[in-house]
Amino acid sequence: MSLQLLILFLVIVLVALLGSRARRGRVRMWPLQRLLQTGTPFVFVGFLMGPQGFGLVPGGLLDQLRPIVILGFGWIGFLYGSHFEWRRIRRFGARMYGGGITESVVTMGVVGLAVYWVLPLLYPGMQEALREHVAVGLAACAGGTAPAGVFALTRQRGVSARDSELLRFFSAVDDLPPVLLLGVFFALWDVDGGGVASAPERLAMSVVLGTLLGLGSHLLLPSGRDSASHAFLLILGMGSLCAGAAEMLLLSPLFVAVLGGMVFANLSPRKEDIYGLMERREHTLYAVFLIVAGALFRWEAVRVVLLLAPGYVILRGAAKVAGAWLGTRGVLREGSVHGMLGTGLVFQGGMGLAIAVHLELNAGAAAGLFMTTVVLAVVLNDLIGLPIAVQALGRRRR
Amino acid sequence: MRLSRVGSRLLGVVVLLATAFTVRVLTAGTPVDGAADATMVLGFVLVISYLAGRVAIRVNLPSITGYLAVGVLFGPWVLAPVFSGITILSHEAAVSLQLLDGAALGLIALTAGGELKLSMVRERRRSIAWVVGGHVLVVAPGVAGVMMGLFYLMGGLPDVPTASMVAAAGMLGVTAVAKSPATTIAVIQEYKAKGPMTDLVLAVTVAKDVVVVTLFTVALAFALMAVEAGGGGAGVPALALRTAWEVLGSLALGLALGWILAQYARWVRAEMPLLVLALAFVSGGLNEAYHLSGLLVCMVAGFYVENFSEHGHTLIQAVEKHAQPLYIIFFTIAGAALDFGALAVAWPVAVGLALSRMAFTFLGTWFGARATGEPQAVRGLAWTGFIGQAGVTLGFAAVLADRLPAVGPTLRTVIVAAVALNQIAGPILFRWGLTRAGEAQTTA
Repeated sequence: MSLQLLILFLVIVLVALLGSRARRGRVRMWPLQRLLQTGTPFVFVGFLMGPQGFGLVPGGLLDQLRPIVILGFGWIGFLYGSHFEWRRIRRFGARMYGGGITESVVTMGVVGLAVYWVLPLLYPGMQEALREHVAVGLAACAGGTAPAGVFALTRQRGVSARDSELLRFFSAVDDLPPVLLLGVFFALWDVDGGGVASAPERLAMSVVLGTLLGLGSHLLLPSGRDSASHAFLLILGMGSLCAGAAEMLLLSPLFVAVLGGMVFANLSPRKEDIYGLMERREHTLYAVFLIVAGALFRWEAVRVVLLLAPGYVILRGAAKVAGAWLGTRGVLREGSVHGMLGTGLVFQGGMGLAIAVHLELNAGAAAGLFMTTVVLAVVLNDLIGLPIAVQALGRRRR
Repeated sequence: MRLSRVGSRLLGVVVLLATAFTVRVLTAGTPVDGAADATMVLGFVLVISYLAGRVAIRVNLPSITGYLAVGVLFGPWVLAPVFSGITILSHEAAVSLQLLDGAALGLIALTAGGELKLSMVRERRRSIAWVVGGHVLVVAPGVAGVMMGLFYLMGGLPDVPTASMVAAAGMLGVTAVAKSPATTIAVIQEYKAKGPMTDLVLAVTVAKDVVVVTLFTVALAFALMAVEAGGGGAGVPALALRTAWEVLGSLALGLALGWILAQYARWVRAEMPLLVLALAFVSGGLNEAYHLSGLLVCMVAGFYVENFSEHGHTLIQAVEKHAQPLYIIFFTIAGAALDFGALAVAWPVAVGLALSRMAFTFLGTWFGARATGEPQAVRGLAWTGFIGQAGVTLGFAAVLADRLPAVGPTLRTVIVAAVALNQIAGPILFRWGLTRAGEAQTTA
C-alpha cells in the first residue's frame, strides 16, 4: 500500500507540474491547455488512482478520506451561502434573482422529468423509489453552473457586456435551487431508513443546524485581530462540525452549510475578509474533492450510463438555453439579451459536482449512476462548452 | 448590547458545545456513520482545541498543553462519566481520524528534519553523540534499577519469577529512553526557539529516534531470552535484521523522498498545500506496509530538502504554514488517548517511573553536555526537551504486551500511565527550559 501511496504522490506532483506549466503558457496544446486549467485533470487523476483505475487509492483509503469530503461539503456550502447577504440581494433587485432562479428551476424541472421518464426505458424493473431518487439527484446536479467556466467565457471577445453580466449573475445564484431541493429531498426521503426524526422535524433540524453554524461562526469570529490562519482554522472547524452533524442526522450537509453561510453573511461585520480568506483557500480542498470524485467514478457504470450521460449533457444544455431564455425574457423582461444565453451556462462543476459526490456517497442501489453521469458531463462540458458558447454568443443573433 | 471579544467567543463555544452534545444525544443508540462522526469531532477539535491553545498561551503554557487538555476533558475519562457515557472524542472517531493523525506525525517529522542544519550537526556532532550516549547509558540502567527496587519494595510482581522481573525492569528502563519528537518539535516551533540548546535538543531528538528503535529491538531480544517466552517469535538475528531494515530502509527512502521534494521545490512550486497533504498521507502509509519508520523517513526527507536544495526552505515553510490544523488534531487525539484508567491502577509505579526518568534524563543530559563543554544553560536545561512521551513509547508498550505475555500487560499499564504524566509535564517543562535559557523568541 505504501508504494501505491508513493505513486499517488508522484502523480499529484506530475499534475501540479503540468498545471503550473499550462498556466505559465509553456505547454501550447489547445484545447489540452484549457482543459488543464479546469478541474478535469484532478478528476482524471482521481479516476486513475481509484479502485476502478490502477487501484492506488483502495476502497479503505477512500473511506478514510470521507471526513475530508464531508468537510468539503461544509466549506463549499458555507462559502456559497455567504454570497447571500441581504444588502447585496437588494442591490441587484428581485427580478435579477428571479431570472437566475427561473433558469435553474426550469433546468432542474426539464432534466428531472426527462430522467424520470427515460429511466424505465434504460433500466426496466427499476424500483419507483430509486427512480425518484435518481431523477431528483440528477436534476439537482444539473441546476447549477460552474462560475470558472463562465469567467473564462466572459473574457472572450464578442460576448456583450450585458450578456457577460447576466451570465456571471446567473452562475452565482443558480446553485441555490438545487441546494434547497437537496435539503428538502434529504429531509423528506429518509435515504436509508435510519433517520432520527420525522420528515418535518428533519427539515426543522436542518434549519436550526444551519442557523447555529452561522451564529456560532459569527460569535467565534468577532471583529478584531485574528490572523488569517486563525480565522481559517475557526471557520474550518465550524464548517466541519456542522457538516458532520448534518451527515450524522442524515440531513444534507450542503443545505445546512449554505444556510449557515447566509446567516453568517447577514450577521458578521467580518464577512468580506472571511469570504476572501475562504475563497483563497478553497482551491486545495476543491482539488482533493475532485480527486475523490474521480476515484468514485465507476468504469462498469459507463456502460450503463453510456446512453444516459450524453443525453443528459444535451438535455441539460437545451434546458439551460430554455431556462435562461425564460428567465431573461419572462422574468427580467429584457428583449435585448442574446436568445442563446443559456449556452454560456452549461459549464458544470463546483456545487454540481459536490451534490453528485454527496448523492453518490448516499446512493445505495444507485451507486455509480450519479458520479459516472456527472463526471462524464463535467468533462464533456469542459471540452465542448466553451467553443459552443463562444460560437453562439459571439455572434449577435437574436 | 455589544459583546466583548471574549464574551462573544465564550457564547460561540457554548453554541458549539450545545450542538455537539445535542447531536450525540440524538444519535445515541442508533448506528452512526463513522466518517460523519469523525468529521463532527474534527470540527469540534479544531475550534475548541485552538481556543484552549490560546488560553494556554495566555497563562504562559505551551498551546499543545491546551490541545492535550481538551483531549483529556472530552475524551473518555473526565466529562463522559458525568454525561452518562456520552463522549465527544469517542474512540471510534479517533480511529476514523487516524489518517490525519498519521499525516500530522509525518509533517512534524519533516519539519524537524528541516530544522536541522548540516553545518550545526557537523559542528556539534560530539555533543549530540555524548548526550545520546548519556541517555542510553544513564537513563536506561538508572530507571531499570529504580524499577527493580520498587518491585522489590512491593514484594515482587505476583507469579513472576526473578529473571522475568529483571527483564521487565530492563524493558521499562529502555522505554524510558524514548521520547516524543512531536512534542519537542511543536514547542520549538511555537516559541520560534533558536539557540545552542534548541539545536542540541533537535539534533538529539532526531538521532535518538534511530538509537531508540535499535535499542528497544535488541533489549526485547534479550528479554525474550530471559523469560523464555520467545516461542513463535523471531530470534536475535532475525530481530537484528529487521531493525537494520527499519533503520537503513527508512534512511534510503527518506533520501529518495527528499530528492523528489527538492526537485518539486525547484521546478514546480505550485499546489504546495496539496503537496503537503499528499506527502503526509504517503508518510502515514509507509510505517505499516514495509515496517519502516514513517517518522524517520520524513525526518531524513526534511533534512535533505533543507540542506541540499536551494529552494527547500520554501517547502519547509509551506509545511509549517499549512500544518497547524493537523498539529491540533494530533495532540488533541493524543490527549484523548491518555489512559487515566491505567494511571488510577498503577499510579505508584507510574509516578516512580516518571520521576526517576526525569531525574536520570537530567543526569544523562548533564553528563553528555558537560563532557563536551556545552554552556551552563545547555547542561542544566536541555533535559527539559526530552520529557514528553507519546506515540513511540505507546507503540513499545503494545509490543511488550504482545511479546512478553507473562509481564507485558502489567508493563503496558505502567508505561501507559507514566506516558500520561510525562506528556502533561513535558511541554510545560520544555517551555520553561527554553524561556530560562533565553531561546524562546515569542510567547505565542
